[in-house]
Amino acid sequence: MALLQISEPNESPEPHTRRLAVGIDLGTTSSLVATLRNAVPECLPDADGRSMLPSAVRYGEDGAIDVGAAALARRGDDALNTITSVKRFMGRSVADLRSDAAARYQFSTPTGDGKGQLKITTRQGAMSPVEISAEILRSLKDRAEQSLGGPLYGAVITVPAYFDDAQRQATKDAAKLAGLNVLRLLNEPTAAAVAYGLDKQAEGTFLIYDLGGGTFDVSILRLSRGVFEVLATAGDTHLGGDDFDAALAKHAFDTWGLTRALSPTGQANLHAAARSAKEQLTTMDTATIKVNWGCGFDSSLDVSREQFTALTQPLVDRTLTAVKRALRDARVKPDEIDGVVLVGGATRMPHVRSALLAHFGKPPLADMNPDEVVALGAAIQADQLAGNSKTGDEHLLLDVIPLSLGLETMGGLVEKIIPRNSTIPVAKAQEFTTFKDGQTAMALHVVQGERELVADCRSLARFELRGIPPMVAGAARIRVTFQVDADGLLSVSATETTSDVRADIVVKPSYGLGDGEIASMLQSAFAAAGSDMQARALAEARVDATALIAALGNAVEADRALLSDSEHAALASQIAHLRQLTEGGDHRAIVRATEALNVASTEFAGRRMDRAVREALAGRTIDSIEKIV
Amino acid sequence: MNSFATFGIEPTFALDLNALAVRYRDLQSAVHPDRFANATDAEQRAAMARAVEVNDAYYTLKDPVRRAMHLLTLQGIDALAASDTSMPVDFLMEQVEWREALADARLKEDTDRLEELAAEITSILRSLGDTFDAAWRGEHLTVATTLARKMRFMQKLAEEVDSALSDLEQ
Repeated sequence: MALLQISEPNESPEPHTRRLAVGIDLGTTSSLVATLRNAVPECLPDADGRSMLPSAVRYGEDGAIDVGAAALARRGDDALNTITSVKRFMGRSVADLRSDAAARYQFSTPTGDGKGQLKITTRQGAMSPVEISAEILRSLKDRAEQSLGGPLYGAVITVPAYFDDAQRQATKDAAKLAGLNVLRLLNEPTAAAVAYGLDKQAEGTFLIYDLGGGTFDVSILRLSRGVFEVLATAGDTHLGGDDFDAALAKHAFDTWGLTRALSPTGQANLHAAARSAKEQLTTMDTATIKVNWGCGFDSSLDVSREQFTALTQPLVDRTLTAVKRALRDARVKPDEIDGVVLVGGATRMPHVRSALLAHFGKPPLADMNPDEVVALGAAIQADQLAGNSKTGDEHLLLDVIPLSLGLETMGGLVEKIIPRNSTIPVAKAQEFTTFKDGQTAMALHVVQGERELVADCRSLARFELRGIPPMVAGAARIRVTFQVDADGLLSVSATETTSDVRADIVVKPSYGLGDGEIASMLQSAFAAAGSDMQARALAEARVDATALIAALGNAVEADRALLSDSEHAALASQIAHLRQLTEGGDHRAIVRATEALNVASTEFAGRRMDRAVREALAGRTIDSIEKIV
Repeated sequence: MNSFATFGIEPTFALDLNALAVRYRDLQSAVHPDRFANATDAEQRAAMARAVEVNDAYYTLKDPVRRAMHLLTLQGIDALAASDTSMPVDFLMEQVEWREALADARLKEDTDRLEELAAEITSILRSLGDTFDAAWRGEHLTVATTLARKMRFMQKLAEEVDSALSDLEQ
């Protein structure tokens, strides 16, 4: 969807014009935006000099929406309308909620059956996590545009590596809703590896241990001459610093002998006090949890570092289980890891570091700011995807999908189509058949997860292939193709191969927002801002057309030899036609001609790709890959 | 689709995996969609298709069992065809013993024994691979097909040992 590309047409980028691109770390507890300045990535601070934006959104009485510190300050006295840790609800249904989270807000589902994306009830209405996250992203976008002095060309948004398809789709929807052109969804540990690897010129096998506010990821990467190859990833999207706070809060609650459930306000105050005690215990041996309940009543409790360690060691052990699984999947032994890189504020806790020291026999690497490293890596990648890097300077990321993708088969079992830790982009096809005579439709249920039973996996989508010609059972050949793109997002298509009946879906119906829903939200946002959809559509059609003319023009100039004279003439005339249309005001004609030119240049694109492959195969002198026995 | 051709090499079983990894990275550096982020849609689609093909070929070639199966496929032999599943009786007896050993270690939660089994299976897989290579080079395709099937059995076993180990880590 090019609807949101708002940069100026850029016909022939001059050597020194850079496109404004940022990396955004959309975190559970705090978020950051970073960009590349003079080839060095840096986080952009707000007007008060703070880089970290608390991931808090408050829906005020007067229709105002506060984001960040201003919202967080009201968490105590306006808990139900102040949403924190919204990342934990992305792509989730009411049925997915854990009891601790369920107590914090009032939830609803549009469908009423507890399935589908949940909403949180606020005084300004029921808000989806996508809308709430979009407020955080919009705030960072505004900050970046003010700081950089112009509209952004695009952004790379980071997600936990262990996010499933529904959570990724929700994140992308939130970015679109915030008016961002999403250059890429990038896995957080991979982003950190880029920042670390380029900064330290690191080569070898590295393990990224990323314990954030609400999510845990571990990724193992091989870094070799600018290529970052993820070998395996594992994690837990419900394990983070928040859980350490909660363990400490529960300890205080129990010690004080409180019996009644706390009000949302009391709970928010207790968690804030627990968090501050946890942070103090990083550098001090004891800390005090102190809560003022109001009406002159307060409680306080001293906690030692040993007590805190004992209370939360099970959480650290859970991270080590994921570490072991990632090592196993990557077929790497602990002593083959050249370095363990710490990412996420929660890795400051001393017992996390000592657990890693014990497991790997060497101290983890803590020489990058664990709060900033993800945003910095995202900024580097955004700059490259925006086309700002010099040829030869580019690095390459080869990432994986975290969870297996499959289809429901007879008896509620899962047939895995793409195994976890497959390198993306990836496409795999599987053939299925009908089980009844004369069957003309087939229901497909797409799931994600490692378990054998459908009921234990995440349901991503259901769709139906209709119009299968009636045949005897087992005669139809239904070929189902799964494709995962470089964002880690899935699309599925199915074809009955004896008759060519086809069904395509982008997997998103059960979660996230439909494209129509996003479009209507944007439309009402523009209406509120007094801008004109028509004018915008025309501007965007022109931007797309001009970008295509420029890119294709460069390609033709570089590879004129790959075209015959008549092919060259045909392309040149279509380019001229499109250029002429862009000067007119018919945005539909421009869109049509742009698409036609894309189709017309497909053969040429294929030849260019063939040539790139030939060059890659010839580029390096390897005597032979054949092993000399 | 010939995965060897994608990598520009002749079909062969004995591959230098390090050289293969280098070539994989070179190929992806040339065709990965990120290299074409600002190219035309047509080129982005072409890049996507090529990157998928290179990933698929690497997935096939880097694993000895999949590589052996692929070599046979290129000769028109589907080693996993359901129509022909006969295996030598002594091999099947051995499989039964392996599975008993695995079930026993799993029941006793004996991680050391499981690690031991994993190491033994790895070494058997390696020697099956060497024998397959010889059969393949000697063009003894029937023998090679049986060996490839044996490798697949052993690999399945290795996967089960692996999942038993990761279950015990939970």
